[in-house]
Amino acid sequence: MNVQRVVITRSGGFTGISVTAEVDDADEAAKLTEAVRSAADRPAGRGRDDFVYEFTIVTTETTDRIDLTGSQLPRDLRPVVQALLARS
Amino acid sequence: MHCTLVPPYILQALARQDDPAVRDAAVRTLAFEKTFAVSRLIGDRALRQATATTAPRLQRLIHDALNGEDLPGELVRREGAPASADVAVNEAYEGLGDTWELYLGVYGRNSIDDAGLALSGTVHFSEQYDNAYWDGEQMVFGDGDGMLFNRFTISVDVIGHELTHGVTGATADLAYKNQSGALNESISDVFGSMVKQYSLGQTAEEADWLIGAGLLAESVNGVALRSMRAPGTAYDDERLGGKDPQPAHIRDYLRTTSDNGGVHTNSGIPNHAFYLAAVALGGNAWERAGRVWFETLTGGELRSDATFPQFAQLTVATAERLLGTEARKAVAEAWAGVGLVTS
Repeated sequence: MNVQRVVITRSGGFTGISVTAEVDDADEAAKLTEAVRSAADRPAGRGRDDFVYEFTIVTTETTDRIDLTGSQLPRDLRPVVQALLARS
Repeated sequence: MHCTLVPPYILQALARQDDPAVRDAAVRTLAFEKTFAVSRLIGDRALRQATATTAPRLQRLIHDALNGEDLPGELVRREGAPASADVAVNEAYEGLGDTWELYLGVYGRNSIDDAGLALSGTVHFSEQYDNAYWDGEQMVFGDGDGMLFNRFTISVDVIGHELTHGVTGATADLAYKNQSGALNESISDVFGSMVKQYSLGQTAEEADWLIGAGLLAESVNGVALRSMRAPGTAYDDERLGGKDPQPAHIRDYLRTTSDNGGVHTNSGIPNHAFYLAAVALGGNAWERAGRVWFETLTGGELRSDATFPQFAQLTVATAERLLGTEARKAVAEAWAGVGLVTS
């Protein structure tokens, strides 16, 4: 079950405006998926107006979605996700 | 683990009794309950610091994250200190003061927790950060990217909005999802707008009812992020995803799994109901409509999973209790204006 691509949507925040980006390189998508899955167990926090990051993970067999709050998103992943969303 | 058998609204009714024994016992229990609610919100250490305050006294702490993400960051201005050379620091300081003034001066609420909690805000969070949020303990403001958004301290209603999330968390604690989440967002917009109106001395008729005026960069086609007078009209720009999506009527309620069930979109419905109520009741919004919404939020009867109809019904009952039959009719008609019928 290989990860083919990941679609990232950031919603929420004070502005409530959604932006979407896609990682279609299979290797990059697999790395991102691993980081996102491990972050999902972190505490979501009690933030209000925090961003919500939705990761739609498309594999050869399934499509899964994992939501992370801004406080769950790992720090080392934030610049990457930010850059991807800024390019979209 | 602390549990309570007597619902807060019954305790509050008992606290209004003439019998001093009943009244005092209820007040003591309510204070105990509040202590636990606040403890959940801010932690025991902060609670001790907060409750050490005996008389209402504004205490502001402004920090600078220096474009990093460690909170709260470096303390750059505390209560009574002279103005900074940094405009964001001063805007945060003044905005927290304006918000504190509204809550204490109009509603008699002593800070977020009604126990004198110091107000903490951090500016310059992260880099080109297009957001402001309440993290459960403090307010956090980004600088914006400069292309679409200016700094998030630029509008006092943004600051009032974030601080009100703290008030909601310490009171009804509306669940941040679907309709209760949209109510949570709406209440922050309502009191954010009233902070602005109160600081400017504007009546409901005079106010612009915009949320985030000045926040959009000059090149963006829009006047603000949201309009309570006319939801769905605040902006229209492809770079923001197109047109402002907020509905003004329940028939246009957005069903989505994004943004915790569209909490920043569907808040347009109760936002518009408040605007209609404020204009119908007349005068300064904070005096009549604001009083009704504040009492509904803090009165103890509002459930954390409240729906739009449940909240609407409570505001109508509160209007009757506080202001009489004419006000009750005005609030009911305001909700009817967004498609919600109350009895």
